[in-house]
Amino acid sequence: MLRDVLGKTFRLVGYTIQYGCIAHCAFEYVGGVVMCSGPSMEPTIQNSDIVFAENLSRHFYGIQRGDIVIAKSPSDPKSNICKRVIGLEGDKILTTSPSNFFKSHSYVPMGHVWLEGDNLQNSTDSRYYGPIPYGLIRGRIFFKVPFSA
Amino acid sequence: MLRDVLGKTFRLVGYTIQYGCIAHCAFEYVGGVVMCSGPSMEPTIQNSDIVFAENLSRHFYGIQRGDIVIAKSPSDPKSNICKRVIGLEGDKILTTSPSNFFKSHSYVPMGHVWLEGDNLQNSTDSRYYGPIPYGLIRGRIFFKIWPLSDFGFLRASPNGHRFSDD
Repeated sequence: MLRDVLGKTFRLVGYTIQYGCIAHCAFEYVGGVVMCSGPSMEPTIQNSDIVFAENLSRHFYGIQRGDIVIAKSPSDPKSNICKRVIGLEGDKILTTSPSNFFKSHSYVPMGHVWLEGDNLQNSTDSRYYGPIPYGLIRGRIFFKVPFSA
Repeated sequence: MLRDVLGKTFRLVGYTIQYGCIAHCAFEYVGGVVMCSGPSMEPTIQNSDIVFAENLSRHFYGIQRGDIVIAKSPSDPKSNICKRVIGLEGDKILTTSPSNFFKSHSYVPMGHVWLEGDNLQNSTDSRYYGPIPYGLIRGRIFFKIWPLSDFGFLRASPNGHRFSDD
């Protein structure tokens, strides 16, 4: 009787671990649904929008200029940020406001990307914390669920 | 006949994906065996040594000063680096050589760590590319399994003076 219960429990735990791992790998390597919060990507992505993120581009190093990516925040590893890739490694980036008379450029270092939010007035991005290493990128957002906000 | 073969193939692919995912999660969340190459961690870890890395500390944010970590390289996302954590976020780091008369300090920014190899003369580390974000850390090395003459837990840093205790 006890052996039956133990056997069933082990089998249940076994199946949970099995399917948990498969689900985790599906999210990690294929993609998943994400909810973005914050005003930094308006009007492209509003607060509380639900989007689809795919993780294949990151693994095949196919992230390009203009892609919207999810990355681990460089100042807080527990949270994610959602910005657009403005420059890849080696690109020349304008670091001062375009309205300034004296413009200042810099180059994105190897292995890094330059991110900016679409809502430039209200976005903490690479203009504040500098270029971030490519290794922090988690996935690429490519589809927004309509009428979700 | 064909249906049999197709059925067997699908079942084989299914099992492969299943156990591949489980193995991946085991390596990702528990740990695995790693081979280190390069001279930057001598004498603690020599070139071609085989070590155990555990990935639990990273997920529970338990990496501490003095730990040897594996991280994605900030200048090349395809490769990994293996260095010791000298400073955590907020720590004061001596950025010039201790023998300089004019010492220069800086603070490790939030969410970053300062890494240095044990072989200070031959190591490209945070003294070169600056502090790296904590998010790049993959795992913590705690045990060496090859060569057998050096089997066991890893030693403390031979450069104790680099840790800021002041």
